[in-house]
Amino acid sequence: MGMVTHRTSMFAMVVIACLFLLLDRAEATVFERAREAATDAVTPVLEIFSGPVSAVREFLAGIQGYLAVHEENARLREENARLLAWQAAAQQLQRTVNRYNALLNVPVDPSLEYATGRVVADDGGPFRRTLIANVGAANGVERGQAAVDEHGLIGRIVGVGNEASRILLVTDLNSRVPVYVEPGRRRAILAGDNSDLLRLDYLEDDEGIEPGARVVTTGEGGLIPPGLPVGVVAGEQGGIWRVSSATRFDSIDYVRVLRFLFPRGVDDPGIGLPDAAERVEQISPEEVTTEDATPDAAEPAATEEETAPVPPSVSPELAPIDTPTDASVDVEEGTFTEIPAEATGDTLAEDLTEGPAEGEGD
Amino acid sequence: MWSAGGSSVSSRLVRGTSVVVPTLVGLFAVLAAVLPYGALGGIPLAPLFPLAAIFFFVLTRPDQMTPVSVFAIGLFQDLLTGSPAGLWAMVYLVAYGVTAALRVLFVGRSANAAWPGFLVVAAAVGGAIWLLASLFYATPIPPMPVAGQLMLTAALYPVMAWFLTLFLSQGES
Repeated sequence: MGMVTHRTSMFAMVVIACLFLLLDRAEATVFERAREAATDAVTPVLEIFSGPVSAVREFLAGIQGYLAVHEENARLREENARLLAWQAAAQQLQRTVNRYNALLNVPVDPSLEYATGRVVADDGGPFRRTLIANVGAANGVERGQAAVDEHGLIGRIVGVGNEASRILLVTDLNSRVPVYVEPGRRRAILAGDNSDLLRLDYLEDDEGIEPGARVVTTGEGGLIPPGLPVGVVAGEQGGIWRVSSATRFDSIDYVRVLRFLFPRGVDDPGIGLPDAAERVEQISPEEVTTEDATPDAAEPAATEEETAPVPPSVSPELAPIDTPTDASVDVEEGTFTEIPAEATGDTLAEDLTEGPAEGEGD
Repeated sequence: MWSAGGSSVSSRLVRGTSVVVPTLVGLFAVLAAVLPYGALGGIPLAPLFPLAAIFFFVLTRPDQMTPVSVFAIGLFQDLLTGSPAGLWAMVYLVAYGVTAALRVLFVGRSANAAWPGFLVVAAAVGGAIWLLASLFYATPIPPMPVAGQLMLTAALYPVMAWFLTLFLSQGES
């Protein structure tokens, strides 16, 4: 009798599992509340046990690190020497950028707040790449926000409970992030396929792309900030460009969830609006750098160039200000690295565009 | 072992409570499986503890591990890992079915002697995961992570069986 009961319930459970799968396939949000509730409920337990697990993992990593300590030391010395040179370059460039920002009356970047959490669970499964971190709605985390580690973007939030949230890693089969490939700011969609190497889909133009080229987010969509590093181009495999990240996705301890506050309702309405962002894209670097080669002459040139596409709703706001503010947005956004190169005539700036590619490509 | 064939109220009660322990063990195994173990030498350490628990109980206490429990364990894993709802439930039901069919070969032998049986179940589970996930996502998922995860689980099964035997004998004594 027992086996007959089991057979009946087995059949019933298989049917229910199939129905759940079909339902989830048709409308993924159906189970979202249940997922969030389950995640929230078990996070306190996971927090207790993930601590010792992380400690053991770090201990084992420490042993591995100890075995390679000499090589690591040599590598770090070399890297440190390179970074010190970079630090000087970056400080100088920062001063230059600050000066131009002040001259051109560029508004400061939209504020970027973050919530830091510890990874308490790692799906580790064969077909999903997700993590659970112990930050949730109570910390201001929202669905769609970017999660970063010290190397750059690692994923985005796909489920938020009160105290915990689920991060879909960029390596997941379902992850798609709009990115630029530098130099040339060529657009592509960064896609995961469950391997550690990411894929560049719909790459605008792969002419001249070299391994080592930096890949950064475009910021489209308003939740992931623009310019977040994702990784570097690793090479081409069977017609598909691959990107490697410096992050080891299987051993992420802490994550930072970025609360990117898209600039709405600030004094200058033209800055954060999508149409303004679109216009930024249309400007080619050459146009702007020629204007900027002689900063004093740049203002009238920029005004001429930009008068036509500026909507009337934006211009009156800018009128009282001496500098062509709307154009300045384009200048600042469109050619962030080119401006100092041309304006300072300094070779350090050239290093800036070349350096990271070499460094991360090693 | 407790009799499951009787229909008196007391034996039903005993059976009702006896189902609870394997289910709780299975649910706890899910929690243990999602802890961030990281990777060793590039291989992600993510053993499927729930699969080992289900196999162990179906083999040693078939009346205490019911399809409803198996479904609940699988669904819990689905919700916790953000997997498609019903996917792990279905995979574990496949494991349940294959284990129940193999049971006659291993009945009366020690849990460790059933290790070859676990390899067969792991292979069936691997096929089920790959097929269901590929159908769900409408694209063939990479088979190597599936194989890696199941090989790791199979390698750890004797340890897990030993632990469960010890745990249950402690609970009953």
